[in-house]
Amino acid sequence: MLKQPYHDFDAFLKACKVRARSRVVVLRKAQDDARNDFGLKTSGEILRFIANGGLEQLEFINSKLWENNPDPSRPVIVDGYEFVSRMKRGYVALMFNKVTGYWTIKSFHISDNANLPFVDAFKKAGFISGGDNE
Amino acid sequence: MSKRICPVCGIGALEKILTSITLSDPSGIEKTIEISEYKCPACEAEGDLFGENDRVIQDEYKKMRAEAVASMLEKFHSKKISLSAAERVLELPQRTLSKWKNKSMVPSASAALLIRYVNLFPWLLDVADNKFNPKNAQQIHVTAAMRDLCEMTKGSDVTSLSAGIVENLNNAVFYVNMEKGITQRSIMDTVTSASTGLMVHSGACEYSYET
Repeated sequence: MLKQPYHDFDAFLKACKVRARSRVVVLRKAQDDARNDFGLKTSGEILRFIANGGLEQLEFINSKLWENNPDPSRPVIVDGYEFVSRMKRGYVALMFNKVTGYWTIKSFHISDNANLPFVDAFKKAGFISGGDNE
Repeated sequence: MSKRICPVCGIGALEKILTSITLSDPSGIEKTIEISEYKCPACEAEGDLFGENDRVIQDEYKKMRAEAVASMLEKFHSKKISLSAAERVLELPQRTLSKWKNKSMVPSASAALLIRYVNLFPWLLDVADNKFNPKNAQQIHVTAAMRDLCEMTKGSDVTSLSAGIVENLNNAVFYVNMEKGITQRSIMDTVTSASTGLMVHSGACEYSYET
């Protein structure tokens, strides 16, 4: 597990900004979660949201090997981040495949850690302690 | 089988698959549509990998939005909201709401949002009718909130209601305590007793309401 992101996030942002012949792929699960959790209805909306700075207070969480990689001789690393958008705390996982030159958004959902302004406020105030994400 | 190579792993030859997705509108309307996606047999990546369904999905949402707005406007009558008055207040051309109601015109996303807000908070029309004067708006808002709060306690076993702010140097939490019995009371007692050292001026901004 790396302490720094493996991929250059700015390069990812740049890729999200390119509208024609996009080199960013959104997986089905990420797409469904983004639609249900954040109201981002299409992959285009997800990319435009990211490109326009929608991932606020971005915080790197961890890097892991991509489990489904069919060619383990060429490891692909997945970077996970948490972000905030209004009252929601989200989690986004992305990876870049040097062979294909494509970025992949693997996850885009409400953070397991999420929540809620009240919990955060109580935590900050020291009323409760608490349970961060792994 | 498609000849496209999976952009995720760069190994598998993508297969085109038919799948159905369910789209939902905040009004409760749901629609299931069939779309074609890709699946990689090598890495199991699955989805609309090239954004080819975006237009179809957007169009479906547009139709759902029109249905939702029409259905909300249908309910305006029972809420005693006159469409022509609402059009005047919202500075919409007359008959606009009627056209949305009978679906002869499709409202834009922002127009639909406006209707959703007015449907949820009809007092926003009063705010607009007062030319968005901040002081009037605040009064209208608080009055509506208090009315809703009273409504919420009716028919439940809430015996008393209190609201206040607990704060320390950096944060403040506004709370509403609906007292139903010993359980609710003990929760509040726990919070207040655990945080006594952190609270400042809590008594200064407490409100009580007896049902």
